Amino acid sequence: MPPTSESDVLIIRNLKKKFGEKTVLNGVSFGVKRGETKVIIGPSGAGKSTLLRCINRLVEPDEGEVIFDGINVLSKDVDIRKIRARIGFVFQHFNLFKHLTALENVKIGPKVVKGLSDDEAEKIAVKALKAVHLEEDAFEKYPAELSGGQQQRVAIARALAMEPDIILFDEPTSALDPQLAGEVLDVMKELAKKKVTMLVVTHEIGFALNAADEVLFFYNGRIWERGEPRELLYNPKREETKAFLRRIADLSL
Amino acid sequence: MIGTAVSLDVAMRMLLEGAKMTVVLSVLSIILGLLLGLPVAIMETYGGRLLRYVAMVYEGTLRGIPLLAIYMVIFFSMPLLTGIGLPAFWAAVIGLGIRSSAYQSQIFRSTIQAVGEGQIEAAYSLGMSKLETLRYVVLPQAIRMAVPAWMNEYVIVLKDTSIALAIGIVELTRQAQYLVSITGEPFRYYGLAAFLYLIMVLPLTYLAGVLARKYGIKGTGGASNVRI
Amino acid sequence: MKGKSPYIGVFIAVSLLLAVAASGCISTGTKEKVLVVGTSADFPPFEYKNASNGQITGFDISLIKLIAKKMGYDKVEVKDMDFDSLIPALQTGKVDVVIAGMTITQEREKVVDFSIPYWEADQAVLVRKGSGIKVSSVDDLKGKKIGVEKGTTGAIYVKKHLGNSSTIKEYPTYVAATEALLNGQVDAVVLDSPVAKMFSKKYSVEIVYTIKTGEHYGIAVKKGNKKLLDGINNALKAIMNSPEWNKLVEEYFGS
Repeated sequence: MPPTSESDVLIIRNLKKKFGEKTVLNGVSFGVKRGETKVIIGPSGAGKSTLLRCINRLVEPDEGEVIFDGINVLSKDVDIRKIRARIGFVFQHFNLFKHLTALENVKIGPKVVKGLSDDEAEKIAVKALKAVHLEEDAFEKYPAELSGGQQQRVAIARALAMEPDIILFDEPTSALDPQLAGEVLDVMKELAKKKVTMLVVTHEIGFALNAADEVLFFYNGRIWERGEPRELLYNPKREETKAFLRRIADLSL
Repeated sequence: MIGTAVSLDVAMRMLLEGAKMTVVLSVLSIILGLLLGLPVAIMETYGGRLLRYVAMVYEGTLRGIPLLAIYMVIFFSMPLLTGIGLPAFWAAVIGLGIRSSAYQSQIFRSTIQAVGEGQIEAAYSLGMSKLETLRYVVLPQAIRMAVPAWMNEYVIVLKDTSIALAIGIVELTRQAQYLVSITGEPFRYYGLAAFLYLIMVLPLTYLAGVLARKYGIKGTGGASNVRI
Repeated sequence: MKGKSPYIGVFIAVSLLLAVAASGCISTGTKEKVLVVGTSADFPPFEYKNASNGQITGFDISLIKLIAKKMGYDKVEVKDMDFDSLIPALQTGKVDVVIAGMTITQEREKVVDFSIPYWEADQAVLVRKGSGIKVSSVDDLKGKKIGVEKGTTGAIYVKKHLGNSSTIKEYPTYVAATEALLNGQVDAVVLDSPVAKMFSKKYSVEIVYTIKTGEHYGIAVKKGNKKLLDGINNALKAIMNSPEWNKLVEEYFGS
């Protein structure tokens, strides 16, 4: 099986990144097709977050290629803001703008970045907030007045409102209680069904089983093992994958 | 002449006239300080090495020089060097304003830096430029967080207007001095002046609370603990 | 949100502020001959603010107005500032002359030029004519009842040197102290010598001793401004030798 194909919306080739002496990414290659949900699992420190941040250049990789919709993202000529506007990013700690209401958080992208009118932005934002099932009485609330689950759903809506080609999720539920994580995962599953292209770093094996088209197991800055979810999660080939999955199972049981 | 009685009516008229000057001078100065201090804070946090250095020298110099010396330079030395003389009033506004800009830049620098990295990453991830991020995310939060310290700075500016009497500004303290010199009653007139300063400051404490409630970042307690 | 930058507003505000500041410096271009006088109006009766009309007035102010008139000026503009700012203001041309009860000292003479002294702050000892009190040193006042004006150099001097040995009575004005002397409530009054000289002509009192403080007040001009200084000195001499002088002293020290 070739690691990447030209039809992929996102292609990563031989990506490398060091922080000082520590190698975090050590030659990572894979592709994400349109409409696909790809899940990345692996122990912490395996470079998963760094990988996501290299894709929209919040972190500059040292080597390798990131091709997004045929554009070389790492090229000097690229206006990275235009790329970022087309790549959604959902953070572990939500990172909602604290001074804006839920609705304003979702509106600001279309307004400031896309230059839409207030009315247009509001329509898009309301639609996005409904898509993540945010209760209407929470639209005018500030982030600090919302539960963690609500905040993360607003953050997903904020990404959706930009109508991105792909959304990157960086451990979206690991800061949440299981119950609140559930409401976020439900939203993500719906998005997967609607064929929203997603690249998800998570520890939620259930989500991977339920929604992923492929699962990548990261270890020591590389893709250590990859495959169809059931295959990889129920029948891993490599020792490190087995050890990791056992530990996850112990924690969740 | 010493011991001349002045009616309370006349004395209050003089003191209120002085208080008016104190308010006008302090308001213009704090605004000038804001217009200069905020850009300096932005230079210090976002500028390149040169801009940052320039801003640091500006801030350090003005914070290191006593206000009286700043006045002396603007009012007396500048005309000798440049041939441009400012009337005492504008020299006072500029002196107090640039001095305050150094302290305001420090306030805004610290609140700009207090806006979390996550907020900035989120803005960048939406495709915002550095300037847009500053305009729509960093400054709105930094300015709200700055309200208590800024109000405090205004109170300091208000009280420091009295130093302008050195270059001939007749504000509250100077009016009190006049009264003391003709009546020989320091307790009464300095006491009245002190009372007027207090009256000018107390509503600001209240205003700071109102502003904090109205513009503070909801639920974070960001600007609600206002103390002056 | 896009397009209109908030920084434009900031620039406009700064420009306006500077424009207003600049307009303040443009001279009005009148042909009037104006003498700009620096003073520090917290030293009555030499200079102080008249509470009822808000004008800066006093002995010095009236004197400089007389001088200016004699020198052909149309107008006197009084600028009040902190005493310590007066010399810098003179040096930088903010004011033409300084009259502020300023004592002529060697230190100050290095940086400004002074007119001839117009006021001796020497303290005169005044007694009733024919009282027979002889004073050849301050010690001779020991055990006497002494009147002074509250807050003056004389009061401070007497309290310091005779506070333990004499009865010191403070009065709100020189006149009140002198009246107390005339009706026998005190044996002597200690006061500024120019005032004492005027009283000795007016009342039945005499100066029996002068305590030298060495404080002489002068009018200051910018160093080297000989033309202005000469004009001031000539006018000052003329005024001091005329009845105008006594009128002036009486106006501010008499009642």
